[in-house]
Amino acid sequence: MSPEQGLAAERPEVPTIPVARGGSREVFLGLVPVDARFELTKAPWLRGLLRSRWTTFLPTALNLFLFLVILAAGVVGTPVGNANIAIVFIWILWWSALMLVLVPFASRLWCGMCPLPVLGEWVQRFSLVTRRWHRPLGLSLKWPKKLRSMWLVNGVFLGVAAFSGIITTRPWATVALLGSIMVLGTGLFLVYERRTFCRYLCPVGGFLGLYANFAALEIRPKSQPVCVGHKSKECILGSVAGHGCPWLEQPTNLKRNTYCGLCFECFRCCSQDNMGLYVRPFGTDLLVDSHRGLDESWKAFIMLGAAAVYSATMMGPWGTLKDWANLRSIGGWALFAAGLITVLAGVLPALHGATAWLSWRLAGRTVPFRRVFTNFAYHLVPIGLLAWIGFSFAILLPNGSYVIRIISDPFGWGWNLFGTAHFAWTPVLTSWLPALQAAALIFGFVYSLDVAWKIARQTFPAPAAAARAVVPQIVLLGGITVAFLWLFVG
Amino acid sequence: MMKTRRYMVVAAGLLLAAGVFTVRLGASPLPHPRTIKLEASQWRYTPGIVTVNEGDPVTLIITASDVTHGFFLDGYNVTQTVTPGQTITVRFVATRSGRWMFRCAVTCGAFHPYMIGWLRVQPNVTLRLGLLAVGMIGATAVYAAWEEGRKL
Repeated sequence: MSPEQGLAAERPEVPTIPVARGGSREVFLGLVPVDARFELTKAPWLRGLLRSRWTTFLPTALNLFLFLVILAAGVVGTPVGNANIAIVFIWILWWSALMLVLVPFASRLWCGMCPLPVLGEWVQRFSLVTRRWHRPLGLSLKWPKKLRSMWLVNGVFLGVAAFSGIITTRPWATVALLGSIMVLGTGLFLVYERRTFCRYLCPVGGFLGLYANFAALEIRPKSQPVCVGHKSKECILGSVAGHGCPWLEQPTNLKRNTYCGLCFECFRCCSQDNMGLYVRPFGTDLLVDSHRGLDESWKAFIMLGAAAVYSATMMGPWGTLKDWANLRSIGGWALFAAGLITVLAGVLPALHGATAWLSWRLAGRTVPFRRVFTNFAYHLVPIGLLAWIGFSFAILLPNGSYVIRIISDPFGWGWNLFGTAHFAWTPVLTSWLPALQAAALIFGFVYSLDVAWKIARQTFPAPAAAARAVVPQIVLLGGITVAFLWLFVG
Repeated sequence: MMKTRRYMVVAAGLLLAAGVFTVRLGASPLPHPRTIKLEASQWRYTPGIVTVNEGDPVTLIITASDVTHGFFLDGYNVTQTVTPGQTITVRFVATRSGRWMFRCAVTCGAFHPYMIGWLRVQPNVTLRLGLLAVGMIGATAVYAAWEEGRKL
C-alpha cells in the first residue's frame, strides 16, 4: 500500500458523493467540506466508555424506570394533561429534546437508550448487561423480504397521526399508544431476529431514521481495508464481547445513518478497534446515492406535511380544526383524518411529482423519472427537520415550565416531592419565538437548496442538465418555506 | 466554492438593501385606538385573529363562555384570568410589530395548551424579512443555476 493509499484508508469513506467540477472537494454552503470529519473516539476515555456495556444499560434502565412511572401516571394519574407526567414528559420534554437536540446533533442516539423495545431485547438475549454466548431466545425468524422497507412504518405513523389530537393531550391515550408499542415490540422480539421491530415497525424509528441522515454524528469504520481484510466479521455475527449489529446492518459497510441505532455493539465486538464515532457536517447522508427509495421519499413527504398540519392545528387560531382533531364529533374527526392523510400522502407527493417532472423535462429526460422523483425527495429533509424544530420551539418555550412542576407531582395527586409542585406556569422567551422560528426556516431553506443542487448534479451527469433541473426544485422549496413562514409568523 | 461564496455575499447585500427600504412600508403614521371583544371558550378565542397597527392603543374586552380561562400575550407578557360571567379588560399599546400568539393561561381542559389566538401587529416586519430572505436567496439560487447552465 502506498503512503497516499494508507492515508486515504484512515479517512472514513464518503461514498458516491459528487465531486465538484474541476475535481475540487464538494462543500456544504460553500463553507464546510462534505467529507470533513472529526473523530470523537480518538479520546481514549470516550472509546472506553462506548465499549462498556454499562454505557447502554444505565441510560436505558433509567428511561425504563421513567417509562414505567409514565405508564402508571397514564392509568392512575390525573386526566389533566399538563398536570400529568405522561403528557408533559413525552410531548413537551422528550419530543422537543428529540427534534431540537438529539436528531440533529446525535442521530438515533435515542434508539440506543429507548425503553420501548428493551424488555423484548433483554428476553431475547437472556441477559440485562453481560454478553451471554448462546442462541437467542425466541424464534429469530427473518422479516419477510417484501416488508423490508419503510412503507409499513409510514402506514403506522399516518394511523397514529390521525389521532394526534387525542394522543398528545390525554394521558391515557399516550400510555395506550406507548404501551401498545412496548407489548407489540416485546412480542415481535420473540418471533423475529434482533431489532426487526425497531427497524421495520416502530413509528418513531421511521422518521428518526430518515432525519438521522441529516445528523452531525455518525458511526463508521475507521479504515475500510482493515474491515475487508478481517474475515471474522464480529460486528455482524457478534463475539464474546458484544452482539452482532442488532439493527441488521453491516457496520463494515455503513454508508448512511438510517438504520444505525447507536447502540455501540460494533465498538464492543470489533477486535481490530476499527469503529469510530465522528462529528460531520449536517446532511452528509442525504447525498449518498445508494439505498434511496420511494418508501423514504414518502416518509419525507409525510413528515413535512405533518409539521404543517400540526402547526395549523395546535398553534393556529382555528377552533374548528382543533375540535376536529380533538374528536368532538366523529364526523369532524373523520374530516381531519381524511384531510391529514390526503395532504401527507397525496397532495405533497403530487406537488413533488409535478416539480420532479418539470426537472426531468428541463434536463432532457436523460435518466428515469423515478430516479429524479426519489432523489429530489431527499432535499425535503433539511427543510422538514427545521420546520419541526420551529414547531418544537413553539411547544417547549411556552410549556417547558410544566416540567419543573411535574417532577414534584408526577401523577397530579398533590404531592410535592422536590418543593416545586406550585411552580407557576411561566412561558420562557416567547418574545423570541417568531424570530427563532423564522431563522430555523431560513436555515432549512438554504440547506435544502444546497442539498438540492448537489443531488441535481448527482442525478444528471451533464452539468447543464443539472443546472436546469434544479430550478423547479428551488421554486418548490421557496413555496414550502413561505407556507411555513406564514404558519409560524404570518 | 469561491463562486458560491460570491453568490451568498451578493444575496446578503441585496437582502439587506431591500430589507432596509421595504420592511416598514405601510406603517401607520398615527396611532388609532382599538377596542376588540374577545370570547374565550374551550379551546378557542373568537375572533381567533386580531389585527392592529403598530403604535395603536389596544383594549381587549374578554369574556369566558364555559369555564375559567386565561389570557397570556407573547411578546407583551400580559397575563389575565377570566371566569364565566365576568368581563375583564386588557389594555396595552401595540409597540411590537409582528405576529404574536395569545394563549390560555389557566388549565381549562384537555386541549388547553393549544388554545391559541393570533395578534397581528402591522407591519409584520418578521414576516416581511422572512419573505425577503426567501425571495432573495431563491432568486440568487435560480440565477446561479442559470449562470452555471449557460457556461457549460
